[in-house]
Amino acid sequence: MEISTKFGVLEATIPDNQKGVGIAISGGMDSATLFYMLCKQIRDKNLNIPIYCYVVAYDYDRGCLYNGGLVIKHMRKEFPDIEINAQMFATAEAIGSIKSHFVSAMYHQTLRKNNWTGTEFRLWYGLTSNPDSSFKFKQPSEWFVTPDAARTPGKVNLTHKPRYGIGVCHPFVLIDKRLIVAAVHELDLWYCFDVITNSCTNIKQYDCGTCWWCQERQWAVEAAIPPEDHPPKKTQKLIHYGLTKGIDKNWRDGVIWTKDGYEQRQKFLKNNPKFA
Amino acid sequence: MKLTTKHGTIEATIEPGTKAVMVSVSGGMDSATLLYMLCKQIRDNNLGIPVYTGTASYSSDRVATFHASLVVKHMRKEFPDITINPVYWTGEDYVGTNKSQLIETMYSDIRIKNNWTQQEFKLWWGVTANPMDDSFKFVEPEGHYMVPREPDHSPSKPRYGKHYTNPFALIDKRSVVAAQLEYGLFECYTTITNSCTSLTEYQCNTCWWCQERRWAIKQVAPDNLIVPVGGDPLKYYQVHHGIRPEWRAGVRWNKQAYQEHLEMIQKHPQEEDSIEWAKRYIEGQYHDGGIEQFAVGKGYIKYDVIKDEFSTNNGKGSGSQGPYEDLYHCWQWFADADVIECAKKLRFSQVTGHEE
Repeated sequence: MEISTKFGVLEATIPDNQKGVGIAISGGMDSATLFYMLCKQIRDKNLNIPIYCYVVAYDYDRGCLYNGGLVIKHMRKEFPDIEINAQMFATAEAIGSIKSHFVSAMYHQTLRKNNWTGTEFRLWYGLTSNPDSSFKFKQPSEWFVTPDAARTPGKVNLTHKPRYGIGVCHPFVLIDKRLIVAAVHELDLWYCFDVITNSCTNIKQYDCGTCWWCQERQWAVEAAIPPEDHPPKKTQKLIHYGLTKGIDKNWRDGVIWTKDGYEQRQKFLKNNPKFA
Repeated sequence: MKLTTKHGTIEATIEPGTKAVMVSVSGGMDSATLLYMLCKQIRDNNLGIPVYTGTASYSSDRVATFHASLVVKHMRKEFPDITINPVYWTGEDYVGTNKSQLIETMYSDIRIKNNWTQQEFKLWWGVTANPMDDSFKFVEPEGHYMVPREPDHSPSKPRYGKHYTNPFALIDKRSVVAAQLEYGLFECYTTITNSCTSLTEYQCNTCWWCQERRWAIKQVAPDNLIVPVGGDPLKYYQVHHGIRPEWRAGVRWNKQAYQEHLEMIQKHPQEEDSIEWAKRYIEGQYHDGGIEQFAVGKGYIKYDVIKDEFSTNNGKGSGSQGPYEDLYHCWQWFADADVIECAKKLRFSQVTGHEE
């Protein structure tokens, strides 16, 4: 599946002969976008395969169960015809950089239980590369999670993070967040994803606006989203979009928060009552 | 089950004829204490009934799922002999006082599916009374905070009602903290639970609920157990009270509880004691952790990155076996117990940063 944006093409394609799809859900916009693209293909190509979501939360990332939970919930409503399984792991220990090991352990559990191979069932990550020099980072006063140097543009090692490897896929690893945000807007997911996802890594606040990850998101939003769709800082986005864009409560059941999106979901359920 | 403390009597008793219990787990210490008391009775009285937990998380209470998950996880470890089924609901909207209705919907759903009556299956709430004397001095914080409960909510919260039960409705939080100290839960619950209702911070230390928690702990707990404001409880208890990482499996974080825990899991093996889990964990460490050599029993499994193949030695003097294309071909040479031990050691060092 490809989505053309003014920053380039966003691509994530399910290979042939897959028996299921595993995805690491962080509660952020990148993995949510990948999740949507995988679901869309499963429906559009009648692949009829299940999705397994893996969420890992620890002391420095407490909100990810909340945001990851919202992403999964809304995606289930958008795609009631797809079997979406979710597995969560929470720990009070500081697991930091080994978070992916826990995701991987859950993935291998699914793989083994189903007797699948790493070419039939892969674990997908929504990791993007770091921004280019147009991103001007302002050092915050508080501690923050530093970006991954291995994702510096031009220095990404595709052996460690293959776009399409055996067992693991990182389809977005060569593009930066601007493409994701632009694609989200293009796909009419912006209002939903801006509300239900979160990138902040501050250990005290939900949405600090100053850590590297908040600044990266803000940079991508400013580059890719029309100004009239930028919510002012420190506003409650749900209320803001409700008032300024007239988003009806009913429209918020899936991930496309428009009248058209809502009507299409209603129509789908009418034609497929077994999913209602 | 009843416990008398110098701050009052805390009591929560499962009635005869109960087929299952459901606890509204908020991620705070009151409901976590109630959950422990119910599980303890189920074990001690050989009730053999399942437990359900219900948690709702929304825009003003985003970390409820995280803390409730920790409570459920640690309780499952403490009581591997009890089936604990958690149910979570998440919403992006402000649900406020409707939160209890969401939990009640989960409860009704489970009750109807299982064909239980309201007598046989009740929903338990850990809600306590507001501080009962003037020793609680509330300092008004800046900005919005969640206001406290109604001063006298007891008429609407019967201790033992037809289908809802509020056993702590007439006691304040000091009794709950005193119970935690008595049951050996204090260090765990101080670490894994949270009371904060701030809209912007995980633990503001200034909202009514943070102040109430701090007040109860200060009134009841010995000074050396109180974590300084802003401190990391996990590190604090490890450094100042010698709580070892392996003791932190269940909810009672001490040596005696750990030894009891080991005896219990021998009787009730968990997924992590299975060979299936161990193989999958080691495979995960190889594929995604980049680990290329594993000590298994007296032998090893080794991956040769240049030749892209595996070899093994089971340490029994029979030399090396292999080469093999994939890791799962290697298991045949090792006893299940050694494979499980290998996976547990790996996981222990991964989770705690320590060698066992």
